[in-house]
Amino acid sequence: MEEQLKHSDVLRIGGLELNLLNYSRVLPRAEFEGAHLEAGTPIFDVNGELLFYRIPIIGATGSHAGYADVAAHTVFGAPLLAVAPEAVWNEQSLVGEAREALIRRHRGSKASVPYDEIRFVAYSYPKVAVAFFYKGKEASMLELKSWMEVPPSSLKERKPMEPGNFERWSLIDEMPQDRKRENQERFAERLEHLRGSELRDFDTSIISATRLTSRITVIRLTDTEELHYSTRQADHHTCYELRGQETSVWCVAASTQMVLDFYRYEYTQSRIATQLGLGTLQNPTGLPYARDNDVAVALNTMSSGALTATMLTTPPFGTYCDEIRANRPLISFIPGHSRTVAGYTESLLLILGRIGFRGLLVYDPWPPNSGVITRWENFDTQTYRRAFTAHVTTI
Amino acid sequence: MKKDDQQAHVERVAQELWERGSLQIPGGSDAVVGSAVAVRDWSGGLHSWVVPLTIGAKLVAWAQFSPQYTLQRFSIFLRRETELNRCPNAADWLDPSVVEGRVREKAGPDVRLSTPILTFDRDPSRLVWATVVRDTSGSSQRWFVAGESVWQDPGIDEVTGGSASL
Repeated sequence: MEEQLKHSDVLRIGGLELNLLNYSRVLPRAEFEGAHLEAGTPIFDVNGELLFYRIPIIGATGSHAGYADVAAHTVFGAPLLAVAPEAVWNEQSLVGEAREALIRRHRGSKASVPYDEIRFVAYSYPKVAVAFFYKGKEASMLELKSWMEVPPSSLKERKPMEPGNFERWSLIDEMPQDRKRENQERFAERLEHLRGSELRDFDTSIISATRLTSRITVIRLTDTEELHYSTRQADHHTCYELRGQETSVWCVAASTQMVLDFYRYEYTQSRIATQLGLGTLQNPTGLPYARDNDVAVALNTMSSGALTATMLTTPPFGTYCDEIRANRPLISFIPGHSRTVAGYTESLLLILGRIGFRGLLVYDPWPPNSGVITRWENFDTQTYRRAFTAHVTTI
Repeated sequence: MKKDDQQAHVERVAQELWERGSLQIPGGSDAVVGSAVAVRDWSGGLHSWVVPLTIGAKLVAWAQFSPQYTLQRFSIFLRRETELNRCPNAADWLDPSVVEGRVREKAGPDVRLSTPILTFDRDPSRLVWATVVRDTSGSSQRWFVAGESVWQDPGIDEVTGGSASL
């Protein structure tokens, strides 16, 4: 996905997140109900890239109701960065103060500091300064409110993202690549939920729990799905059966059995174990890592080709969601163990930058001869090796 | 035995989650939150906590928490109110003396056992009790117990499920 979002998108996404927070009573209802968002002030990174917008919120009576910081760059990992219900953000007033501060700092010098551009810069996120530029070059950078000159970048050796107390640094440049990638994936997932949900055509320029309430029968603050008889949600109840593994090492056989059962291909676990080369009840064995793909082959073979199965490596949360929404269970390999996934849940609420809970509904064949249904397994605390999807081949 | 602070805290967290409905057991609203059991890693350090939920003598669910009290999973044995008999006996999972008895049944009466610890087989979701069994010749072997299942630890890592059991 693109790293940067357009202003219009930022306003829309920010409005959506604020509406959800307001509805869930995280924000002070008296101040926020009926409030609207104004055009945001762009705040830049030290490296010149746009980081986020600070968006003033005006209450229904016209009074200030604080501001919200909404990401314009996916490096943050989540759209809503902060909400400050008590604070006042008046861009013009702050620019005026900054100009006066610049004059005061250079009073007595022979020439004033020329500038032809002013921008707000997160010189040490989340700390913000006002930067003055002349012909594209920085002429001065004054920290908001203290109006102290922000020192130039230090050449001192230090760890990335661990700046000194009053030091300018680039959030985008210093963030490690793997963390940036993870954040961008999370951001994309969040956007997908917000854009794909029933709130898609909801007017987000006004914050209103009342208007949200009128749509409450179709809006869920969590996105939760479990396997049913079909993709028509009105059909029957949850439709999936747990199979305990019949030996301490037949988790793969039991998982394969659960999926085949779902598609009405009934085999004993012993028969499935034979197919997978997992020995017998008297002399059972597990599946070596080198033969992981045998599971996909077995699903296809034992359904006489009706199931097209695919092995995936470390799939993201979204893959599980996609399969469950299509009403298809998955086999999930974690280190040393196999189980199946029959549902997911994800909180759509994002509170001050922290992503809500993501969970999987796991039908776990462990312990032997019993199994458990895990509702929910915290996705963010588990390592996932492989997943196996299977879909019915249709004409 | 006096509870330590961590154990007491994780039990309080579990109790709170149960009382406010964050943890639910279909047909098992009568469940009682029990004493937390420490899950050890192979070096003997604390890996996580398991807090059991029981109805009478039956184990109907357990919640597993990290040492920072983050809920890792909530796993349910009870599927329907009328199927309490299909749930494991709580003692099988919560009473180390029962665990010892199961190993002795398989390993023979002349062996010596270390104190069983609750740990996991490869993945933290595969909870097992482990004990080291020393026979009369002096050789020792780690054994696992999961409910009524008892087997020797084959010690092979890159196998999904593990290797041959007894």
